[in-house]
Amino acid sequence: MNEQEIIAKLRVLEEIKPRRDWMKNTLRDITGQRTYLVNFNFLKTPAFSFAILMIVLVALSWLGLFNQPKSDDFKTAVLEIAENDVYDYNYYLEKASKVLEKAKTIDQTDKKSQVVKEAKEALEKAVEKLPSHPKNPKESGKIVEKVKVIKKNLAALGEEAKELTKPTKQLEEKTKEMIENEIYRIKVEAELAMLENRTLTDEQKELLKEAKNDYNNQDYLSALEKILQLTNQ
Amino acid sequence: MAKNLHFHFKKIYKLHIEKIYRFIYIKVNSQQIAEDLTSEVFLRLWKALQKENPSPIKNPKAFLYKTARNLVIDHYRSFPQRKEISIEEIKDMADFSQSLERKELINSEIETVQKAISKLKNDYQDVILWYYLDNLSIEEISKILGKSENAVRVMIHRAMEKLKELLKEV
Repeated sequence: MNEQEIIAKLRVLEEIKPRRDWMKNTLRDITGQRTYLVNFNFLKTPAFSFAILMIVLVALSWLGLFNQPKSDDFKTAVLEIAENDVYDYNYYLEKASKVLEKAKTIDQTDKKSQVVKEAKEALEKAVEKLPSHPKNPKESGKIVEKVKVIKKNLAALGEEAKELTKPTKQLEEKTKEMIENEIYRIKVEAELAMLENRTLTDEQKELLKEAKNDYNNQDYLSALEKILQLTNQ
Repeated sequence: MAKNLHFHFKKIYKLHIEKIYRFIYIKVNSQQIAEDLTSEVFLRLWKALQKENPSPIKNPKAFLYKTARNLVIDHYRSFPQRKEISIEEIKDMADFSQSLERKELINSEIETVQKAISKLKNDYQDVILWYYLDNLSIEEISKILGKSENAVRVMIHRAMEKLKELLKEV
């Protein structure tokens, strides 16, 4: 037997490994802190929760700051509506903005109420057509910007636009939901990519399959739950 | 500070726990004892890192192996009756995800190699495991053993020759 053969024989000893639960418990016992050896468990850590909370807060504060006076940039952000546009949520969001902008310049009460009615219809349509899953983060940003302009114009109208409060609130809620979904989607995609390189038990493989199905059905929260379950096994 | 220490320790732990456990296991032939001694090794590191004086550990890897080695020596001083390797225990301890035939083959190989290694004298066992299995450098081994690099080279060579003979016998 030559040296290379002996080294190869020695390598078989690499199969000797400690129990995973023992490794985890020992680390916890020594440091007195709850620790995670499985990478995905950072999903449950305060850092992760904090990061998610911060993203949601930033998004919400974005929506919440709409009533603040804005620079001329925002005025220019209200685009002219081309009538031949596709009648999707973009069309209705822009229409609502433009109509509300116009309402601010009208003095006659009857004409103003007509315009407010028009704005209400546009807002309701926008709520109806707003996607729960935007195509990409850039699109979410654009939607948020548009909602921001609508709220600004609505605030300028005051009591006269009272009937627009409800659809605007609905629009805000739906936008919030959309942002949350977007956060979950990004998270799930990252986790699925990482799991591709891991050795999984049969049970974990089954959970991964279910998580992928949820992801394909755009149910990102359920997918994330499955991933958490999987990584805790 | 405490957070940094915890992060630093966790990093060292994750990096070395398997190797230290394996090193101890091969020498004591018992899962229970290997777990106890490995825990003790890392507990000592944790305590040493927490101390401000004496100076912080510059080479945690060397500290771990040195402590593991000393604990194994102490263990045999307290319990001189060496425990014989049991194939059942090997089956339990190894993390296998291979086929049944492959499992049996690996079990048998581990038993053979471990038996041969256990017949080597203590220093030879250490250098063989560190150099060939844990990929420690000659320099690192010389620091752990407190011997010159040349002495370590000679020791590895002699240990290898001896192991060759023993593997023929087993």
